[in-house]
Amino acid sequence: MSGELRSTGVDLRGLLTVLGAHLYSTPIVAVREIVQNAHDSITRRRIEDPSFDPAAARITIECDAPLRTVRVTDTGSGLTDDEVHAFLATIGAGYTRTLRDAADAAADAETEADLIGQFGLGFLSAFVVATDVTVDTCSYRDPTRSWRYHSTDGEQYSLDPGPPGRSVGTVVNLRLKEQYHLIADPTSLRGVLGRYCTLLDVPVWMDGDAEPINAEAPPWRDLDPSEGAADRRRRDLDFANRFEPVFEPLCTMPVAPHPLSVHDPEVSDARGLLWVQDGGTYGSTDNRHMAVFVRGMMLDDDARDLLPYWAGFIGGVIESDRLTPTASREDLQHDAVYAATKEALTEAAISGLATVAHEQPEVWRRVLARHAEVLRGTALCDDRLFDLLADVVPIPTSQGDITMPVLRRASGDQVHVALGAGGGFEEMLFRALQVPVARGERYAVVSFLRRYVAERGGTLIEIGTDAGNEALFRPGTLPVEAELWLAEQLCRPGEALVPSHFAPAELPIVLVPDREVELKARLDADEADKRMASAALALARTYTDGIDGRVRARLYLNLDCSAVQALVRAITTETTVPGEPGGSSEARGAARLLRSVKALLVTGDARHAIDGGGDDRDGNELLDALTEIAATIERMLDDPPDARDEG
Amino acid sequence: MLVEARALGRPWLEVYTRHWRLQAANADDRGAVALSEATATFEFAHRDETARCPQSVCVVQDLCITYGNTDGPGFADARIAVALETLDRIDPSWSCWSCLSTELVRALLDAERLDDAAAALDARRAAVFESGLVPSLSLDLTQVMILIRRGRADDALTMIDDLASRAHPGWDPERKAARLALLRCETLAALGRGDEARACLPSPETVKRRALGRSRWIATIERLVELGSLDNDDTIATWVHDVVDHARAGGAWRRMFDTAAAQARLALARGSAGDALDALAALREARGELRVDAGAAATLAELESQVSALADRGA
Repeated sequence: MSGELRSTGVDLRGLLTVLGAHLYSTPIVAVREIVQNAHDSITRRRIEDPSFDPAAARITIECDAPLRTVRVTDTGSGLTDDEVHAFLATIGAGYTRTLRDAADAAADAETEADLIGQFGLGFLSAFVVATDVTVDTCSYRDPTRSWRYHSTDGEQYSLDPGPPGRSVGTVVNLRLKEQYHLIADPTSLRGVLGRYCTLLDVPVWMDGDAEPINAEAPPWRDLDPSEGAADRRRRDLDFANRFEPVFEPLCTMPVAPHPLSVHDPEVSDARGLLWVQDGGTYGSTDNRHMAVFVRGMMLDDDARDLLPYWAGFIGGVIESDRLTPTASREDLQHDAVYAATKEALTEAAISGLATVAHEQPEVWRRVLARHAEVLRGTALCDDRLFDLLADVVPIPTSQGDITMPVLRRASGDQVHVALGAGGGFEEMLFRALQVPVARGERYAVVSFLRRYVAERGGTLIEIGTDAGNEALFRPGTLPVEAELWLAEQLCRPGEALVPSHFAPAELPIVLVPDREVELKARLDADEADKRMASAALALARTYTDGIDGRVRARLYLNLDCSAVQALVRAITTETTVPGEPGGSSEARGAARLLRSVKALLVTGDARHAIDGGGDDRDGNELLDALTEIAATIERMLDDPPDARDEG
Repeated sequence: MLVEARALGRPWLEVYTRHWRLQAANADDRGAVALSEATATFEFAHRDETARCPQSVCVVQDLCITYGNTDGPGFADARIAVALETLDRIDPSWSCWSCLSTELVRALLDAERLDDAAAALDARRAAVFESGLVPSLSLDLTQVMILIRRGRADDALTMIDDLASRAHPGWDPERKAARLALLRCETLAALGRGDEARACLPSPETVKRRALGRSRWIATIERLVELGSLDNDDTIATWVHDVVDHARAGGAWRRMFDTAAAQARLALARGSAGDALDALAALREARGELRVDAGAAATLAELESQVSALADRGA
């Protein structure tokens, strides 16, 4: 090793390619950068030139679509020839940085806040979009001389004296590449700059326009204490409409700086507007939209992550002097100020929604109607949101969308929610119940109901879970002999009779498969060895080995059902057939009919789950049931009650 | 989402949803109470309509971890076998490679096979490098744990500092910071630097919110009390009691036993016979659920003797 120090070389072309072509995501940022430079030049002149009339500050943009040219003119400080070499033609050494460093050293926060550029890279972007760049400039320091910079690729440039009599300021001319000719379209450019520049404190004129594109100050900068609330809301909505790309804003919510932002540099200084979009959302829809301005220039028009993840129905625009852009100036650094801003926006959204609910009830109803799905999830994300939404957000039920107070009143404080996808006893029970049953397959319904009941009382019955079943079927009792007789008449092998009380009273029986036993049967089957790796299967069987597989289903017999009550009375009276324990022939006939009803109520899937049996058995049982029902009808008609009485 | 997946008739989506619900349960120290769902999800993920879903491999890992939460040493051999069997089916490009490797290492540690655990981790990390990938933060955190267990606390601290300085995209920064804080606290406590350890001890709220290892947290607290860096007071008693209760609610029997043992020792140190007796009751309850002894009987006997002596002194 020689120990001699050398300087690292720079491939300027390669560096320009990387910085120019890959730093920026869209060619329009080139115009943004040049406008920013124009703004900073005017700021510089304000600082350094005491003779400068602030009213003369102006940026003008002209474009010619057929010629593919864009021209940006400013009345700023201009550049001397030395400054052109030092700042315009040297990457990373913009004068704005010098000004910023000086302002920082002097603790001049106001100046620092006024400056947009940071990295000395902005001018570079011109060569991404242009084949030819000319800069005509005249410095306030030497107003008798002007200079013309010219380059076609940014790697080499010329600097010549400009024409005499040029006024102080700078004119940047771009001759656009063919593929970027649309940048010179006046309508497009006006639309883009109308968004990008809307908060700049220097008037920006598109040539030929009667007023600057940023003539209208954002409403939060132009607070009038005498303005009525309705007028204020209208103005806010108009402004929000300019920024909301897809939906129409329903209502707006203010964003104000943190009260301590004057003293604490790490709290949020963000100010602006949020709004609720007028567009239907599903639970997982993410229509968050956030435009962020830093020092008056739009940095990011899709900073959605500044909004909380639950705010899929909210858009916004804010400005800040403290958020730090990345090198490309198209994104924000995720630092302490970013985190503080995020928190501030969450608070603004929560308090804003509460204010809308309180002050604009008709608008709030529209919000609830448009966003019912997502608001159920939103309610779970913050205690204040839950308090705001718990009793007003609609819940989808078998009887339509209704609120929780109505649901509770209709079901006597027992709220039912169906979890099944269809089929099984849950579906049958759900249809038979005469109370509204919440649709658990819809977004956030189950979670919302669980929380609601936990906090505000009531009972939640989740139809289809073990706990739900226990709540549905209250244990009942029968005389031992009656229970044994009924079990023998109604149950097949593997089924256990469970005397119970449940709603509706018209439903005599419900057959509920034991899910654990089903699971055991599947894992014990030979097929499982073919599907599953042996060690994993052995581990899984460790659990199912502890399950008693004898009872595969429970037949809940409804002691509240009049037909069941009659049958029980029949088998517990003295009118028995001699020599036969329990029931008369009528009782046995009734039991057969009840068994037929059971066969009709149990679906194929549930039956398969209980038996693991083949289709033939299902078909036979069903046929038997239908035969029995038919035979019963025939008997009733052949032997009517009147005839029996007379007999 | 599970109900919606079923309503839509999307079995792969159901596997995905049930896997992540089990992940959350696993992170929350759910053991025996989650075995039914873990087993049912395992079976569901191996049906014709789901066997090819990539998350069906993750479900095997969930089953393993649930048993590990129930009684780590009790199911260590079975977990090792399952982890090895499953890792053979995948390669480091699978995201569950990292989780299964971590589970393999944990099972080996539960089986008191420290050298095998270190070797297994090295082999899995080497496989990741050979694939042109970078070991995940999970593997790195497991490496730190191995270093602590091997008495190389200084190396552990160096690694923690390095991990803290690197970016780990995909990891929630606050969760990463919390996990590193607990590891740093454990490591400093192991080095006898009690005051420094105390400064980075996560709060109960952080432990809960970031799903940090509760029993390791309690073990670290006990160490800090021994070092005199933390007062053995009612606050500590409440924290430990809450962790015992949490383990009981989740059926995490081994952790319940270990934490109840710490509860007993701390109560004895405080001279609180009542708390010590409560701890004994919890120890007996948990011991009744353990699959293997792994020293539980001896621990219980020792503590019973000490508590009895304390109670006699009080009488």
